Amino acid sequence: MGVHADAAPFPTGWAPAGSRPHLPVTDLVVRRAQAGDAAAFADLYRAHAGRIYALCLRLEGDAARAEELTQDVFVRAWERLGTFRGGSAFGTWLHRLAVNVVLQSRRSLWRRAKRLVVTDDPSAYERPGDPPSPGARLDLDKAIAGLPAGARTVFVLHDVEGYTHQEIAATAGIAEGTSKAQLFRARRLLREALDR
Amino acid sequence: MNCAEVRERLDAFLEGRLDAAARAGIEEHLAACVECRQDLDAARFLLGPRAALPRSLDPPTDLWPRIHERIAPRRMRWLPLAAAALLLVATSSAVTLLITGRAPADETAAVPALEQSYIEQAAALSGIVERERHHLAPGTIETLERNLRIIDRAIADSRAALEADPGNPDLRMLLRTSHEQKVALLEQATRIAQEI
Repeated sequence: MGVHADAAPFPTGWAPAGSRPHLPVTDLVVRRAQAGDAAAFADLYRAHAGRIYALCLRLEGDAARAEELTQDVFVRAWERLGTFRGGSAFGTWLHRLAVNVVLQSRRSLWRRAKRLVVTDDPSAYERPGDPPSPGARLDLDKAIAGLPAGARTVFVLHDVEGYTHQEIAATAGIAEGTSKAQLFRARRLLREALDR
Repeated sequence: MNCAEVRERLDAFLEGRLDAAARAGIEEHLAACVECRQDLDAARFLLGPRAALPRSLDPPTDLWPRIHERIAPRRMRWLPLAAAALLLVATSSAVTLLITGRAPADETAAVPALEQSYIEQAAALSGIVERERHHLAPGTIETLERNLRIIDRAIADSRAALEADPGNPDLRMLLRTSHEQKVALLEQATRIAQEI
């Protein structure tokens, strides 16, 4: 899996022909995409796919699911482009949208599971990811994938993506106290996994 | 200081963001509390691996072709629907004209009265489309607005011609047909927005 830095969404000097120099390149590309230009939207995909895939992969802990969700995020973004008003950076808007897509998708899976087994405890549906293979020194991404879903979500959003507990609580529909407890649980589990 | 208060400040403690008094309070608690020491150890242990996590990971395959496939039909399907709606309205007006040998009604109505119900219908439908606008893809909105501008120009032209020649039945029919096209287009947009 390739890794690249995401400091600049476009290569230095890249600009569409005829663009107005005083506007940031991404604004112009976003405006073209908002006007229905699929080629501009492809540029946005290329600029942000790595960041969104990394987020989906860490939140779900499964590469195939992360690919599906990354597609869902960009399809949803295309449908909602009209609601992006430029108050925040496009990358920030897309990131928030991605978190919502992943969490909504998970809630929908839980609802389907609930039809089969009745319980009031959502943690009953938490399936830990694949357990780390014993004896091997793991990297953090593999260890994150091995966390139960609730702990993984909070760890990724708080410790990797920099969300506050208040934001996590509002986005994931959980209490702030739950978010804090899950964070400490996640950190201890990760330390155990990485320290083997 | 109790466990909850210590946990609340643990990250700030680790990152050296606390004043001397707060730091001393936490150190005192940590000396006596195994649980909080374990939380501190886990957080400290993860600082390095967290900082080393890449923020962007390339998806294993290029997802754009599948995303493009999913957004393209929604973008394109508008055009045949709009064309079908316009054709239907034009055909129905032509058939009425052929059967009766004249325009369907309002042969003698004053122009404002002739237009009134169409204007009301169009205004009501425009309100719905505006409310549901966020469900429509940017390309759909652009196409809708472009078609509406064309029809509005046709309405304005027919109206001006009819005001200059109020007894002309053909101009009367043209004005009515243009209004019907506008209403049909907005009805179709409403249906699409509410289906999505």
